[in-house]
Amino acid sequence: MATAAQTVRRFAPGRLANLEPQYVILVGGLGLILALLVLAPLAILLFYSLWSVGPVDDGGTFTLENYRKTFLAGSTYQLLYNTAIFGIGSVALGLVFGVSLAWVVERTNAPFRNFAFVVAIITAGIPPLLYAMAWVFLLNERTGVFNIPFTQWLGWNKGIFSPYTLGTLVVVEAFRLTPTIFLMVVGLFRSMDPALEEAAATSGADMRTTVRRVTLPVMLPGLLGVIIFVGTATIGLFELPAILGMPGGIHVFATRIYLAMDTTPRDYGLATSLGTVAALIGIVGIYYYHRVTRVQQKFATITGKGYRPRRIDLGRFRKWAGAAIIFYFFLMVVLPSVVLIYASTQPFFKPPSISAFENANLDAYREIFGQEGFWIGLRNSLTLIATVPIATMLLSAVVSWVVVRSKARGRGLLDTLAFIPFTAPSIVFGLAFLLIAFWVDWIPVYGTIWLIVVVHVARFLAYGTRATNGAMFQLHKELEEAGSVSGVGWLTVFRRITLRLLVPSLVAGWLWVAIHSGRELSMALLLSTRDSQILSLVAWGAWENGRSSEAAAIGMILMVMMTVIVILARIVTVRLTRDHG
Amino acid sequence: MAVAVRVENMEKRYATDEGAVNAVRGVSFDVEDGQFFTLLGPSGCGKSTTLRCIAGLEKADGGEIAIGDMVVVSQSGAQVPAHQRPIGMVFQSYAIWPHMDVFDNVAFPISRGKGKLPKAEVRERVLEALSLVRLDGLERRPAPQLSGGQQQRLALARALVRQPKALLLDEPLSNLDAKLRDDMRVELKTLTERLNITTLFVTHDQLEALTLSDKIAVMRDGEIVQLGGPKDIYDDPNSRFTAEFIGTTNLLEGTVASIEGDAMRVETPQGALLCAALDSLAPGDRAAVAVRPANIGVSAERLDADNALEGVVETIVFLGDSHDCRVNVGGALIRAFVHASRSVQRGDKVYLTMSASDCRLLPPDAAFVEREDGGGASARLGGGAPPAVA
Repeated sequence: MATAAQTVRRFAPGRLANLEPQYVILVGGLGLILALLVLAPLAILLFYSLWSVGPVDDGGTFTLENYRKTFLAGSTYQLLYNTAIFGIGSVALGLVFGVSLAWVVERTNAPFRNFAFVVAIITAGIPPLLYAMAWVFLLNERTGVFNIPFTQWLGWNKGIFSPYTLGTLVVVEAFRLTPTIFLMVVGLFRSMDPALEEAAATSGADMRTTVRRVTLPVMLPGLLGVIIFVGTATIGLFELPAILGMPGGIHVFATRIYLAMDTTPRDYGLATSLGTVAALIGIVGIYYYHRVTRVQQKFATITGKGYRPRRIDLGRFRKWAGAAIIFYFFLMVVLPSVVLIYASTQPFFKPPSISAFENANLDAYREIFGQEGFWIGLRNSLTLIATVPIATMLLSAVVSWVVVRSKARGRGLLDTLAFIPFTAPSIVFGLAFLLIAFWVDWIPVYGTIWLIVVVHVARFLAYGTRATNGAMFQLHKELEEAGSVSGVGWLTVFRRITLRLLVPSLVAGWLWVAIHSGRELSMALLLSTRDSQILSLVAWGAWENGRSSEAAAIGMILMVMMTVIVILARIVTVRLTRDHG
Repeated sequence: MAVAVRVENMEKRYATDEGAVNAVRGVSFDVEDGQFFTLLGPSGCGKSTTLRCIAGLEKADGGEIAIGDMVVVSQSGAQVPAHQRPIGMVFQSYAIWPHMDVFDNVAFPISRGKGKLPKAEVRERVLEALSLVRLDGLERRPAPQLSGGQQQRLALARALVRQPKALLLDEPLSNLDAKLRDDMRVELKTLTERLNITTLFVTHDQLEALTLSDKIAVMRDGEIVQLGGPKDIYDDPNSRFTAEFIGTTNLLEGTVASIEGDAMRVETPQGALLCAALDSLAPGDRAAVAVRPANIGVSAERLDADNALEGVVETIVFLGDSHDCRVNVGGALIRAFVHASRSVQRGDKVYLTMSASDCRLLPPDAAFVEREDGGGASARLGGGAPPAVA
């Protein structure tokens, strides 16, 4: 047995005996990376909310003064009220639109169903900044398209619609959420076994009873997940409240933090204390999201199988349902898009008229192409799209592998860490990284695009890991085990088998991150300097300075970029599925 | 004969929400060179866990495992990682890599890592392995385009291409439909015999175990309850569990009344039965009598013989070559197979006969818990608690 003894001696006894060194480095390294990307920003945010001076000042002591000042101000409660109305109102309204649309498309024989799909996928990608701008053009009291009947036909001073009210904010955000909710709910419908409903029908339940007693209860955990998901995103949203709310003095968390950082001197105390509160609200939301999605797994309505249930014949209502689909998308997609294109050709926004069309020109495009800032922004945005998605998805794949496959201690913690960035509003995340940049000013990232790259990766990791976790669960673990028993080390197995089989999900995740990273505004808002600004910021700057047609023109260029990315990703996906049907 | 795989006192515990579970409790066995060794048992008995510990896919918590002369799990807790063990394995799902074609799937174990071979040799070995499993000519077929049976054979070729010291098979036949399973069983038997390769096979199907194995370890609750050749295990089950799990068995509970030569008379609620003696029992002991349905004669006339029980046919199921009858004897149902040519009617009064050598005595099995799946493999008798011994 001499050989046996030798074989054994190469492996140190003890608990780590089975762990190859790369494995230990991997898990430890991942933990460190995630702690730096996720915990450090939140910790420093909390620190400065409890510190008497900002990061650029010397000295300072621990204090609760920041919170005291914040919560003594009446404006804070107005802000909390606005945020609550904004979040609850737009999610509730968005659910009404999104769920009914999903039901019509998935469960009835209404016409234009496939059309609805395509449009939803395209609109879910419209940058919120552009969407908000479009609605200003549509609803402006004097020049808004919707107000034409009042201002031009009736000759009134101003129309009845206004873009700068809380009500408008809620409705526009509901419109913006509708395609996202629609797509998520369609996913829920498809993953539900129609036999559950058929069993109710054969048990003598009519359609209404079936929907009430079977369909809705089974879908409830999934629906709650959707609500918390879009609700958290809405509460943290900056773009819509900035464009539709701020001019009318309607503030939410994100805009108030922006304002605190946009004044001189910057009010770090207000920004960090509000940011901490917003992050806490997010963490509570995410805690429930986790609980709810766990219940969902217990229900096992998600089987990975796509079901095609029997469709309900709407009879004479079929035409009306089709008309509703068309109206929906005319209102939510066609009008905003058309008005943006139109606005980008008008030197000053005027309601559409024959003279306006005669005066249409491309001056705004010529103007921005002549600005150095535009080209810096374009270069930086392209850098983001080239680096952020790929880095995010690779990191996500490794994290998911450790979380789903390995038996490493602390893997659950790793999963939670990766998901935490989702909890804080983007602008709070940007604020936290700004504080870090001041803190470690010996690392020369502040003022470069790379700081924004890091922030984006940290933030989008939350989405990336959800996608790769799901894909990893679907991947039968015996596929990897077959690699191990073939005499190949885990790193090769991971590269040659795991990663290779995850490619479709990685491409899908890449696309999602690319679109969101390319259009993201609020994280870069506080971090960008002249040399590190990105396209969405250039558009925002133009809008803030009243150059609305330039803002619209940059928006159009952003849209073209996004469309190209979607088409490229689609081509790659088709290639992949063709090769490995 | 040399020992190819040695497992000694292997332990495996899992942490679950309800606390630690002892999945495998001190399992020991030796597999000789070239032997076809089967771990057989119901789901959850620890057979797959045992195999996965041998493969290195799970970490054994105690004991020692050696493959050939390589100690892969040592008493001190040191473990050789799976990819350094000289094994080939076929999984229940086959685990065929869908992004590779047939050739690349088989070539994987010998074209990467430590076992890497020169290109020409890889080609030769892959083609050889493919022809062994009759997949010649399909090298460039994308793996997902293979049928179930072909995928299964591909998985086998991939496991064999490294020329492993031990071939590990984890329920490889369970995903095939019935007809294909029969064919693959025969093919597997022929192949392993021809290659004379040491094979460890895990199954819950007693027919697979009986037909394929040189040796069977029957497992239950993480322990081996019986170890022996297929015939020993079928003919001489040492416990009620084995008797019920392997084949179909009638069990009658009773008390040993007397010893008559090399036989024992057992009093059961259904009548007295003369059984082959069991040394561990003495008059007055409780015992169970196991009789296979095929060993029970059914006749319409009363026979003046030992072990004749009178009953009424309660249900008849036509099986093609025979009738599966359940005969009510004193309130209990006894299963017997009657040749298809005989006509038996429900409600017929019949006499059951069985020879003493076919009546196997089993010791009382205190730990025995009735199987929950009620798979119909056995007909329990007596119901409720056995009569108290005076």
